[in-house]
Amino acid sequence: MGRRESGMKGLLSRYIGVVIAVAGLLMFIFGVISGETDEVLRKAATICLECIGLR
Amino acid sequence: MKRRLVQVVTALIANGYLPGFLNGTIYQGPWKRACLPFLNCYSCPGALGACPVGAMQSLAVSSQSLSLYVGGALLATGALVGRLVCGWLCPFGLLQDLMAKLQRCKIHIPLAMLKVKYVVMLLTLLLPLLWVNPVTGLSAPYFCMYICPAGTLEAGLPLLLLNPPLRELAGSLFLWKVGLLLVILVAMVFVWRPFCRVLCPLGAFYGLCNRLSFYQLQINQDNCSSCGQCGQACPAGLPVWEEPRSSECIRCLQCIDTCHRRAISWGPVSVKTGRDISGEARL
Repeated sequence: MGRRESGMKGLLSRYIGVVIAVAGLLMFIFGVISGETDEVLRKAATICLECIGLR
Repeated sequence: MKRRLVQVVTALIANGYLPGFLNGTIYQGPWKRACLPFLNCYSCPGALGACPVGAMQSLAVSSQSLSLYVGGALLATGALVGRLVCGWLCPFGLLQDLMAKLQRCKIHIPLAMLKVKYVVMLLTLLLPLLWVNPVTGLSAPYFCMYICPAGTLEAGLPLLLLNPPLRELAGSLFLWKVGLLLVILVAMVFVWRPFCRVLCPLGAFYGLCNRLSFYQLQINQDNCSSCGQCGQACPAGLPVWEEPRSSECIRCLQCIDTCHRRAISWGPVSVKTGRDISGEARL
């Protein structure tokens, strides 16, 4: 029983990075679908006066 | 040497829009939709992609919510490789590495100062959502506005040099940003990667990811004699053999080449019934 638990823990420890990466990928895809890339383009294609310290 | 090459190529590709440097304009094409995984100001005349911190903050200001697109890209990258991005891809990291070569002897940063970046990360995420200027009634990308030295160096200075009309807009805020940039540039000579380790919100985020990322530095205990050579070679001065998942490790992988017993490796986490090769419990 203990061996199985530690095995599960091992698997979880191995794949937690992958699980989180997949969650991040899903967030990314949802953001793309909801049009956030257009908003990013709109912001990034104009000079950001705050970023360069002018406003 | 391989790392330096990757850093230089990444910096050149990320800032490869040459007409911008000639005309004092910025790239406005479709690639600007792409969120880069590292700090690279999108107002830099050469920038081809969007800075994640700038994009996250700007979207927070305009939509009053955190961006799933940017957050997802960062989470996916961090969960796979952690701070490898800082060590191998970030152009501002490259600058810090090069400045560090000017002075061999480095000043040690107190542990408490290394925690400042987590506060900066939280404020970077939350302030644009929570704090509205009472006079203007508007929020602002506060990190980009008051701190980001990459924005001043990559965008502010070149754009002001190339655009006389912009120069007339420069006031006290610009002076503050240039002053801060100078302080950080000088600090880069005497302290190893001061911006990454003390102020960078992305460094803080990827540092947290270091502990759980799929790719890890791993120590083979059978080969390791705890001689400490890897720790001496580590530019951050980390005891690599004891703590390969440190949030301060930028994964430059210098320790791997240093270890003559080949006890350190870089790769996907191996399954060893709840413990990894280093013997360190993961959860």
